[in-house]
Amino acid sequence: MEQPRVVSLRAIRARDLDELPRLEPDFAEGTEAAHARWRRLLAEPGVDARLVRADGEPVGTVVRQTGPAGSEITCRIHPDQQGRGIGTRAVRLFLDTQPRPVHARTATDDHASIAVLEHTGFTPVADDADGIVFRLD
Amino acid sequence: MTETLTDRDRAKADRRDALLDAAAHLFAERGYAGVTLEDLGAAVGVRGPAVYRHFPGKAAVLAAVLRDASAGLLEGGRATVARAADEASALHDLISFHVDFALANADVIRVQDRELASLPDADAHEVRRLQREYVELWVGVLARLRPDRAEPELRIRAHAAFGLINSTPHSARAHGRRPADDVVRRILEDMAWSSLAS
Repeated sequence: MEQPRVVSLRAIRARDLDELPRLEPDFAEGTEAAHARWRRLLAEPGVDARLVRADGEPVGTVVRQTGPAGSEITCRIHPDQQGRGIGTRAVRLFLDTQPRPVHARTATDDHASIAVLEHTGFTPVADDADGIVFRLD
Repeated sequence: MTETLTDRDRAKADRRDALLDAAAHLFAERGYAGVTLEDLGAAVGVRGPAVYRHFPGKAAVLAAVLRDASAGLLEGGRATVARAADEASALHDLISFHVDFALANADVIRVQDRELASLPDADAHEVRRLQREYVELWVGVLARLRPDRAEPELRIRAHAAFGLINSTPHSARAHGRRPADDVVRRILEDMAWSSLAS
């Protein structure tokens, strides 16, 4: 599939809530539950949540959360849009604005996410039952 | 052509776009004079001097913000008219297209209103040329819809419609809560249609 001309990020605002469930079709939850999850997330301290757009069209999200183990980023791209290199470009742009070190976690068999993290300079530092932990210094 | 782009080219295009987006926001908020190149870099996470990889200086950033907006309007406007089945739907779609632009680019509209005079002459000339062509695109559609009306009148109507649609920097600032985009969209589309078709 063709790569988008421009990948851009912008802060997620409360009025984007209706758009978000559409971008995450593989979450087995209703719209209400998705809204509640995003409201909780956006209210957390130390959260930086951005909408990922490919040539202006919303296609996913990238989020940094700050936990006891430091900051961790998560990038989700709509399944129909995967394979266009969008995740790598979104994470690269996001990392421009993120303090180091930063962590990320993926499932052991989530090859798409592992590829994105490797392309953007992360190295695996641990793996456990929950998956692989990556780190970028 | 796309095949010849490297990852590095794409990353550069993404960063340039992020820089222009942040610039529109900062120029709108603080005024062109109140923003330094370091501020622009900081907003997208690059050190001030790295901005020079994309633009020779602050004036070039302002020029790119305004030129990209005008060029995007002209290109998108032409595609909209080319797709339309008839003149009435061309006008209808042009209105929707411009309202979309105004809702998504309130910062750019504010910058354009205030800072066109800060542009170097050649850039200001280019921006005005693109904008004149965009106006003429609208006048052309209006003239085919209303051949009974003189072009100068249609041009005045087109400018008046832009004035009302480009009011989004003000509606976004309305005291208290910002109205939802689709509320603003419906009002602007209705009013623009009435002002042009009456």
